[in-house]
Amino acid sequence: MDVSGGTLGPDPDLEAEGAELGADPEMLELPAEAATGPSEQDIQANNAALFEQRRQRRYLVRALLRSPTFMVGLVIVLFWVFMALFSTHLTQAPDAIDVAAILKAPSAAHLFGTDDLGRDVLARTMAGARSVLVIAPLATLLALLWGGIIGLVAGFYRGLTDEVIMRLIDVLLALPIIITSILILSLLGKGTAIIIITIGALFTPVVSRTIRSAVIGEREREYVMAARLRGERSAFVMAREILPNITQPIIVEGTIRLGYAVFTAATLSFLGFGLAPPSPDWGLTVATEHIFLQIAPWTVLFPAAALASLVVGVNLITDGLGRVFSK
Amino acid sequence: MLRLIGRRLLLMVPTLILASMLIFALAEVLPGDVGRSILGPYATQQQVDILNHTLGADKPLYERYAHWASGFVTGRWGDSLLLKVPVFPAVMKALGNSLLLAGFALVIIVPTSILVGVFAGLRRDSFLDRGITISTLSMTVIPEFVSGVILIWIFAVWLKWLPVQAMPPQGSPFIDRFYYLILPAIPLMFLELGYIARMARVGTVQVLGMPYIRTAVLKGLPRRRVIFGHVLRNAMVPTVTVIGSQVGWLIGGLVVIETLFVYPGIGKLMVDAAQTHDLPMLEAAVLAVAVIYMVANLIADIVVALLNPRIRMGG
Amino acid sequence: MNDEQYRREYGEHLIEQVKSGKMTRRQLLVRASVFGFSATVAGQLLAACGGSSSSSSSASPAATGSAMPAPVMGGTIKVILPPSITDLDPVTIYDQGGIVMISQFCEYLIDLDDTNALKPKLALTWTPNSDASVWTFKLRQGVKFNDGSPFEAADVVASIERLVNPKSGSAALAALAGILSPGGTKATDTSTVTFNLDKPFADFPYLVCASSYNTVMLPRNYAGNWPKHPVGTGPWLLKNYVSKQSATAVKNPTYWGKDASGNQLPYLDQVDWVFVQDESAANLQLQSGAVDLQPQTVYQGAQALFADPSLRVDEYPGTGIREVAFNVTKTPWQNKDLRQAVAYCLDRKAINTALYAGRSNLGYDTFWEPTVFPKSPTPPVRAQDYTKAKQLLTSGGKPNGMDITLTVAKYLENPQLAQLIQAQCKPAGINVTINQISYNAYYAGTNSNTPWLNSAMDITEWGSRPTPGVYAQAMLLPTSTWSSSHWNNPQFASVFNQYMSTSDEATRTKYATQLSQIQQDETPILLAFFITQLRTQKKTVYGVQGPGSFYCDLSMAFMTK
Repeated sequence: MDVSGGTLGPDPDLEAEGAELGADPEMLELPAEAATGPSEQDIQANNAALFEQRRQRRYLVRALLRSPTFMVGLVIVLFWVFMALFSTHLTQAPDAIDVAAILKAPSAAHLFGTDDLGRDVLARTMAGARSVLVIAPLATLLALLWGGIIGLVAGFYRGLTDEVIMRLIDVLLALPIIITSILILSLLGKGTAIIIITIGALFTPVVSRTIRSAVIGEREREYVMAARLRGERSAFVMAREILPNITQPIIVEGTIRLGYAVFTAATLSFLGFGLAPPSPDWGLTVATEHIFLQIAPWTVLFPAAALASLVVGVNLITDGLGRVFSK
Repeated sequence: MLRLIGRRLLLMVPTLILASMLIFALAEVLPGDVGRSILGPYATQQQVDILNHTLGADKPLYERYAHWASGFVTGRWGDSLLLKVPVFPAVMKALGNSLLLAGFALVIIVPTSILVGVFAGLRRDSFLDRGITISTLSMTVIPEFVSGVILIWIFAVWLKWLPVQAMPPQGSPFIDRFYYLILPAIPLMFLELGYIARMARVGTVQVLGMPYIRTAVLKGLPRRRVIFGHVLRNAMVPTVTVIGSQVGWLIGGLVVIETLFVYPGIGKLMVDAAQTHDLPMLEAAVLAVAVIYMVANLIADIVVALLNPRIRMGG
Repeated sequence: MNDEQYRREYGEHLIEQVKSGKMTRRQLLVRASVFGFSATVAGQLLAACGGSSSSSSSASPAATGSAMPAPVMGGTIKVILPPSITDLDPVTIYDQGGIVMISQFCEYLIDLDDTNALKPKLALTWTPNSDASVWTFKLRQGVKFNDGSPFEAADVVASIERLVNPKSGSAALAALAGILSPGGTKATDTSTVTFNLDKPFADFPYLVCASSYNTVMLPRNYAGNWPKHPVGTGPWLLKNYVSKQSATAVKNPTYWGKDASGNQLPYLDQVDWVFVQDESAANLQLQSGAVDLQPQTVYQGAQALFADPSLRVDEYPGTGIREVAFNVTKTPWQNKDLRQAVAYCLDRKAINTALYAGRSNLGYDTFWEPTVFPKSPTPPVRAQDYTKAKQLLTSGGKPNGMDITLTVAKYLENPQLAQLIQAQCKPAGINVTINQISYNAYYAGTNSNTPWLNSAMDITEWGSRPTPGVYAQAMLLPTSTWSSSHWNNPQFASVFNQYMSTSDEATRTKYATQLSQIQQDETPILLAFFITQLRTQKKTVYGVQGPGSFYCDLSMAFMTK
């Protein structure tokens, strides 16, 4: 099943309905072969396979570098990474309050204008990338980790385990995200770590669903059946056989989630559950400055545009990956 | 098929029960208590304790849950602790408002997005396709609090073409509601257009790659018929799934829009109830939204099964 | 800055206000005389204002009198207000939405006029005994509740007794704690009420006036559930109320009030209320013309309203504050020198400019500030002085600076104030970490763990209070229920009791000087400003009255064509 660019394909539940007609491999029981060492032929076959894998990877990388979508996205993201690291050396101090220069329009002294405390908007916009680029990727990795484990387990074992897990996932998905995030954040308190954990937890259900679909798709393939006939343990099959073959959908899902993580972090800041002032975080800035939108639009539009550009950049990377992987 | 629907409906029940317990437990650990929310920061602790005792808010968690649950399932949804109005009509009214807004927005967004997405998919990798992808992507990324304020400013304050809030004055005919809903629906359209169009595009691209499509074209079937007959139907599969999952957000997640446009929807109702510990209101609202979310997903899955016989029969 | 310099600066401030149109010449005369300038000096100030008349964009027509057109009878006004968090219950309301609503339909014994002075409403006179421990109120005759029953002393007794009863859950209980207990209110005849206080309190009338928002007069047989039976003596009748959305009020045909010419009040026929929480949404409604009046406008984002040609933004004197409290029971704030060190880091003028465009009055860490509470002694000015701050840090035991935490709720301009304090403390080596939490979290919990009463240093917003004594009673005494600073100064407490035990002006001023000096020296809280209130309305709206944060008297409001 091609998951390029999509987070949710046809519902695997319905697929399962259809698959009921087929034989369930778990019912087959064959004696395990006695374990012997790898033969000479095995080693050569292994090396050939590794060589093939490496060649494929190089081909993929070259294809990515040739894809304009991917490259534009990459440039944008790298620009913001650079800004997150070095902007304070290049711009004015983002925290410098100047009460004489409140809400001034863009000028030579302040290229992006000033905010309601006289701080330079350009400096704050560039520095605002830092918090987002720390929170979003880490939250996404957490979601991939937790969602990956759940999805693997549910998708591989099927049966009752799968049903129970998916119903629990349904419960979590049925709850409005706003409510759950407010509740969790009010409970856990403040801090960057808490926000990362919260967003990671919020995305875990959706990620687990996607991974589970991918695992179900792979599960019926010959190499999996071969591994199980060989008598390999389930954990081994999941980790060493299935996982490497679903890296593509995982990567795509990860980049999609990354875009949403950026967006969600900004929204949580808007609702008052984010970082503390005087952080130049984009979400926090838009939340604080949106009441000035009519008289000083630059205070809102630049951080919003920065946010938009980062998410677009990440999505372009996703798109590029999707196009390349699906060829 | 009917067995599937029946099973899903049955499974909704334990899901809802679990969800209600989860909300109760989470609200329990929120800072503050309902007595303080009602009396305000300047009442004495003694007064707050008296009120909490009167409301039964100092009883143990499971006792309070049992009390609430027994009332809820027999139709006695209670009164809002803060606003002293019955919960059921308040939740239904807010839900109705949210459904109206979501429905109105979807009616406009869905055909538009599908057309845009299919169009882009048919002209895959062309300049038009890239342009559409990037612009719809950019629109999804604008937070609704930014687009909302800009839109109000342009259309309601400066041009005065549209009203500044989302509810017509009391006593206006029902049809007026839609005129007032135009402005708040636009930020929704921005957000959803990209997502749905992308799904439609992905579905289109997938189907176009299928061998049987190429066979049909080679066999001489008119392209238009191929498109409408097969492509559209199969492009709808991921699209409908996505719409189903988005309905939950469109109903319950619009707190920002409801705040900006002063629209009494269920998103704001839930957030207010959560922050003030108004548990009867919070539970009723969350469960109502959960039910709608699950029903919407079920309908989406049914539609997908109808569209794609292969999935239905497991070929 | 010495006294002479201060007076000169104040004079210049007045001139600047008139010149920029923020104050009328008549207001200048009032302020000057209250401040203590002689007539000659006042005349000189006026002359210095130049010949041009002030622009009408910010002057309050109610104060100028002559600028206001003749009242127009009839019409409907649309007013925008934040929604009430709870249902409308006069006994327990506590937020602006609830208070403004209730005060449309219910009235107080005493009102406050535009300058925060007491004005008779349902009580005509209020007289203390020799040591202000017993107060006798004479009630207005001929007033009826809107259910037809007459307003008499028994109703006053019932209303006040209900408030001081812990079971009713009213915030007024804490305000009256230690001053008036159950059983202290008695009706001596149908139009006279006697209040027997627990201790002498010269400011008692202020505790039953409009700024004590729960002390509305309800009938003696009031049994609760006000929204079902919206009873009161006020000029309006509640016709329709939808929680968090809207309300409609129509004129009360049997209202007792009449204007100076004998015309029946109110002038308007109907008031349509719209409840909007978000400030930017409310501003947009004003600008689009959908509503006519916003009783209280928040400064942040109001710049668009100032610039709008269809609107008029009035300023009126306000005594609201943002209390920056040092919890003197927590490290390092036990040490007075360290508290003063922070006080000397503040550039109060810059804070006023940043938060209120310079429109508010500066404060110098004492409630006795003559620019907002006339009759107060003049305190010494505290200017920003980093040398002094560093000296105080050293004498306080922190020669290398210190790290402190400032807890603030994400509400109104409190976060900006916190950031200004943070920036201004930095040059002295004081590193402020801002702990910003949600409004609900800030006030959540019990008295022993709620952030606003238990943080090491925090910012709490207070709506206008009419006298320094009311403020001190609320938050500076060892017995205060709302003390974030937990300041316990026996000398201050004893002088305060004496201050409250007499009504003689000269004696009170003497005590006030002492109290002001102690408060400023000990600096349990920082007071950098007293907030001038803003009210926004269409240019055709006149006659809206009431100072303070929670007040919107529409009985004399009208709209020209």
